[in-house]
Parts: sequence; structure tokens; C-alpha cells
Amino acid sequence: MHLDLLFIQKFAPMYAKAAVITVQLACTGIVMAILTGLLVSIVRYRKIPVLSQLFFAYVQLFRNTPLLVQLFFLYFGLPKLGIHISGPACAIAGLTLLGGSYMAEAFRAGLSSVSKSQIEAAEALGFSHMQIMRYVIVPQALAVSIPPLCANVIFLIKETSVFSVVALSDLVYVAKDLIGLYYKTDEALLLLVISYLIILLPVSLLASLLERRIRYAGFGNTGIV
Amino acid sequence: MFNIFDLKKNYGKTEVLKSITMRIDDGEVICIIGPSGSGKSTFLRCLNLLEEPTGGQIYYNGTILDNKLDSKRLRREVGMVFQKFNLFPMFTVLKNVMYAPMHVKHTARKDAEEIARNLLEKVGLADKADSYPSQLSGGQQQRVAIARALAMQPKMLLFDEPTSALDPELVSEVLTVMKNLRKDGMSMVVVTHEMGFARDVSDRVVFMDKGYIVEEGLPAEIFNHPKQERTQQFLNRVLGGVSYE
Ligand SMILES: Nc1ncnc2c1ncn2[C@@H]1O[C@H](COP(=O)(O)OP(=O)(O)O)[C@@H](O)[C@H]1O
Ligand SMILES: [Mg+2]
Repeated sequence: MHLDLLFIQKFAPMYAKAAVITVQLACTGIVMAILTGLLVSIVRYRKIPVLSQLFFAYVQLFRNTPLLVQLFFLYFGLPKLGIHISGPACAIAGLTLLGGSYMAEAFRAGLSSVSKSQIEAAEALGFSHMQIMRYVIVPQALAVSIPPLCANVIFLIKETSVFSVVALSDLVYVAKDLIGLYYKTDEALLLLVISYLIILLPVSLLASLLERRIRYAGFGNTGIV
Repeated sequence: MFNIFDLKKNYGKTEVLKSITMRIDDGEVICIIGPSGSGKSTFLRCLNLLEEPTGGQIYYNGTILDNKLDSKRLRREVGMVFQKFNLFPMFTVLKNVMYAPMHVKHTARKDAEEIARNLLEKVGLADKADSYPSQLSGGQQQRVAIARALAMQPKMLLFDEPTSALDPELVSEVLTVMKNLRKDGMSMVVVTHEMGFARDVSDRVVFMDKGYIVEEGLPAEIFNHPKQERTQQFLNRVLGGVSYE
């Protein structure tokens, strides 16, 4: 295989620009997904009537449909109902809704790992319900939730590769564009792979460091928590 | 401290406490004995409102406890020690003991730490301050749980079978701590199967069966001259004919 290095050199900055857009949208979407997931999991944990069932339906709906389909719905379906939203807004909304459903499950796993006896011990010490949530449940739940949360972050960043369907000039869009214009498939795809690696490798590394720290803290357990 | 009248507790149709009337005075050590399933834990848990009674009245220092709002104030004064310790697994021993004073009473960290270290000293675990609960034996964990309850400076402690989850050789270290508390004048209500402890340490023994108090009295009366046949049968069974005289 012969690679056109000049091509790579010339178009790398375009990828960099697209990568910035991808990262910006991903960060916004992921932060909002985490907040959504927290809200959903707390409502479900507290078994707040009506909302709880509604959120359950939401989680099932979005966990069981692909992001691509969700984006199609937001971008092409909603305008038919008279609601118009821009490409970036679609991308963020899509990530938030999909990510929210996954994050909710991660937090749910954490919350349900805290036993009733822990809550009773705190009650007996005079902690109020809000304090129990903040000082007893959340710290324990986080330790359980962080590994799936990290996995979700990586998963969501990868899912951004479908953003080009809503006409965003993200990485995949740039690659497709260049292939269409110059037929330099190998170079365009190589740049695409490298761009994603540059974004994802540090995130993965950070995630495994974080997980290792939790495991090592291990609350004094020598084995796996 | 407590005046309890005709206390009842049902779970759905199951009547667990049928009618409990008793008083608990300041500085008293009361042991509650009885077969399992007789409602001892439920009774204890009603005293700090972990369970909401379904009937009757509980007065605490003259005021009736009739809503959940009273519970926070009550629990500051009435601590509880559980059969399974229920320590916070993610925190060190020291943090376990400091945690409630810091967050419930808003005690300054420095003061909370001093209180915690003194209490750990008192239960003989000063050197375990930085360990995690999972690194301790059951007896040590239970002593930490006692220190944790004491850190709130309660007026009374409730113990629900504090030694039942322990290996036999670890029982005495916990009972020793409880005997020392008695010497300090702590009011205690102890649900226990340790008949030796009930006989030697308590001011009063209460025998419960099937949701009622069958008999109560001085330890010597209950153990040596029980008036009720059910008490006698229970004691014969648990003491296996061993006389405690
Ligand atoms: N949350 C609950 N729901 C239904 N039944 C319960 C509950 N807690 C306790 N019980 C029942 O109440 C009875 C008395 O329980 P408990 O107070 O734990 O007795 P003890 O401590 O004397 O062994 C038991 O038959 C138990 O099954
Ligand atoms: Mg019990």
C-alpha cells in the first residue's frame, strides 16, 4: 500500500477541526447524559409514582434503539410534527437521551448495591433522609457505578460517529467528504482511525486508572470488591 | 426515660407486638430475653422509631412520640447497636466513628476526631483507627459500632443481639465493653441470648413471648424463681438444665 503523505499532511488540520467539534458535542452530551441518568435513577430509586414508570419506559425505549435511529427521528421526524431543531442540537439531544438511559442503569446498579441495613444504621444515628442520600448512599453507590459509568462514556464517544447523518461536519463527515472528492480512501480512513484513537485512548486510560484506584481502595478488601 | 403503654405493631395482618406496657428509667440496664420471633427486635426498633408503632403510646421524657418529626431528636439521644454491626464499609474505623457527629451534630472535624479517638481507646481499638471494617474481626467490628453509637453522646443505647453474629471466642470482648458502659451509668436495653450477661449485669430482665411481655423482674427472680410456666420452659431450654446459682 502506498500512502499519499502530502494528502495526509494537507488534510490533517481538517480532521483536527472536526475532532474539536466531535469532542465538544460529546462532552456536552455526556455531561447532560450523566445528569439525566442521575435524575432518572433517583426518581426510580425513590419509587416516585408516575414519574418512576415514565422514566422506566424512557430507559427501555432508548436503550433498545440505536442512536442512528434516534437521530433520524429527531432530525427528520420532529420537523414533520412542526418541531425544528438544528443539527448540533439533535446530536446533543440524541446523546443525552441515549446516554441518560445507560447512565441511569449504571447509577441504579450503584444505588441498589447499598443495603437497607446501611440506611438503618444511618437513621439510628440521627441522619435525615437527605443526609443519608448524600453521606451514606451516594459515596457507596458511586464506587459501584464508576466502572459502568466509564464504559458508558467511551461507548458514547464512539457513538458520535453517526453524527454526520444530521449534517454535522464531524470526523466521519470529513472522511466521507474527502473520499468523495479525491478517492483517497486509505488516507482518509487512516486519518479517521487516528483521530478517534487520539480522542479515545486518553479517556480509556483515565477510566482504567480511576477503576484501579477504586479497586485498590477496595475499602480494605484484598480481593475484588 | 421511656413510658410505654399498650404498644402494638402489625405488619399487615400479622400482629407482632400485641400489647407492651413497660417503663424504662434513667440509668437502668434492661435485658430482654425470649424465643426468636417473639417481637424483641420489633419492640427495640419501635423505641427509636425505626418502626412506626401501629397502636399505643410511647412517652420519652414526658413527651409523646407521635410523629416522624420527633425521630431525629430522639435518635440523637437513643443510639442503637445492631446484630450485624452495619458499619460503613467504605470508611475507615475512625471515620465511621466521626461521621455522625460531624454531619448530624456539625461538630468540628478536630473535635469529632478527638471524641472518636477517645472512644476507640475506650473500646480497646485505638490501634485500628485507620483500618477498614472488613479488616476487623466481628468482635472488633461490634466494638467499633458501639464507639460509633457513643460518639453521638446518647443518653441510652439499644442493643439488638449484639453478640449473636459473633464466633463464641469473640463474645466476651464485646460483653466486657458493655459491662464498662454499665459502670459509667449508661442506660441500656439489651436484647440478648447471653443469659450469664442478663443475670449478672442487668437491673431488670424482661421475658417476651408471642408479642407480649410474659414476665419481668430482678434477674435473680426471673432466673431462679420464674412465676410463669412459659418463662420456666424457655429458661430450661436455653440453659439446658444448667443452674446459674
Ligand atoms: N418487616 C417485617 N414484615 C413482616 N413481618 C415482620 C417484619 N419484621 C418482623 N416480622 C415478623 O415479626 C415477628 C417478630 O420478629 P422480631 O421482632 O424480629 O422477633 P425477635 O427479634 O424476637 O426474633 C416475626 O415473626 C417476623 O417474621
Ligand atoms: Mg431479633
